[in-house]
Amino acid sequence: MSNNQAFMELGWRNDVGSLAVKDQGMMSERARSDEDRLINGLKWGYGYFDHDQTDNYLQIVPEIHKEVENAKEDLLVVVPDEHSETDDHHHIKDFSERSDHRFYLRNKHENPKKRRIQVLSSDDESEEFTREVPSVTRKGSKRRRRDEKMSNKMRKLQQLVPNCHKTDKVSVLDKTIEYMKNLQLQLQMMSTVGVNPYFLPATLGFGMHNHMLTAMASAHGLNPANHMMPSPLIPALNWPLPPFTNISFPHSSSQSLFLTTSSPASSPQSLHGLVPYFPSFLDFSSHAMRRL
Amino acid sequence: MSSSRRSRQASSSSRISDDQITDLISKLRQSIPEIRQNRRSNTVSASKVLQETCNYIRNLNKEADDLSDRLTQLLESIDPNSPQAAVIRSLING
Repeated sequence: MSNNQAFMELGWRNDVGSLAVKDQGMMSERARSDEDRLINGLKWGYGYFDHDQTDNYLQIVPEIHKEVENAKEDLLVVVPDEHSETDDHHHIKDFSERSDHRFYLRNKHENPKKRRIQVLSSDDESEEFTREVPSVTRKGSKRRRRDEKMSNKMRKLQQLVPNCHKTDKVSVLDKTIEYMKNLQLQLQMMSTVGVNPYFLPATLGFGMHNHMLTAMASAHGLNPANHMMPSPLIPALNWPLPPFTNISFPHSSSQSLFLTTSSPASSPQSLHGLVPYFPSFLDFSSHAMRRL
Repeated sequence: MSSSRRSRQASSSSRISDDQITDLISKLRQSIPEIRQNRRSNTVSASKVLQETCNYIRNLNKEADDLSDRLTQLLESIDPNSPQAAVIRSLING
């Protein structure tokens, strides 16, 4: 196939003049039938163009093949218009249409005088152009859709996170992270208490309780600074909030926290990964697991 | 002159906030177990992270509700005047 194309190029470059002359002759020869077609209703469909292309192609082939060898088969095919209208059409199937197109685009530059070919190649170009435009707009709409998706999710997050009044992305994300970590911590606390409520007094002495309640208070959207806890044990007012804000992940950090303060009942294994996967030792965990 | 400076400032500040957002999203990604475990690669889209965050927060809230119920049951079973009961109450109400 590429051979053929190379041939064609060669042919065009070598004897453009003679080909041009020949083609002109062919066109005038064919003019009558073309006129007829035009009169009959401008049936310039693709099939016709294809046929036209083969025609031109086949005009070239013999020119080359005369110089080369076994041109007889091709010459047989190069019978003028009306007859070749069907045969050539079958013949074109043997050649890839793409190479033909390329060939014709090159034709346009090398021999712009041919009106028929110009029409064809301009048709090609316009086709490519119309193909190009939607892809550009598609890209733009894709980006727009993605941005829309993002802001939609931002809005969802903002609804999920309490006390998130600012609408800019940074503060929404900031609040989300804080809220999420507090929630994780709170869940850890609750499940620990749920397992063994009697180890809690031990942790009170270390101030653990204060940390957690403060974290919980903020997790529930209450400002710990002015939130009065019902228990007199908890001086939440002055407690610095940040102890848990730079925790990378609850179960690594709070595991160590619990290790220092917990009673023997809560082993590190049982606490490890408490929040992410609900442990099976909790008797209510089957309920929770079903959703996870 | 002044307008160009202003535009440059605006672009740089937007770049800073973009960086911040990227940073925060990567933080979020690290604290969400689903993404952290299932995706070894770093090529999780930001919207995916946000989506997972939404789901995760909903799950956490559900779990918190469940645990509250559980603790309420627990509270009924222990001495209401004990310090444990106070702690549990504060947990539930928290």
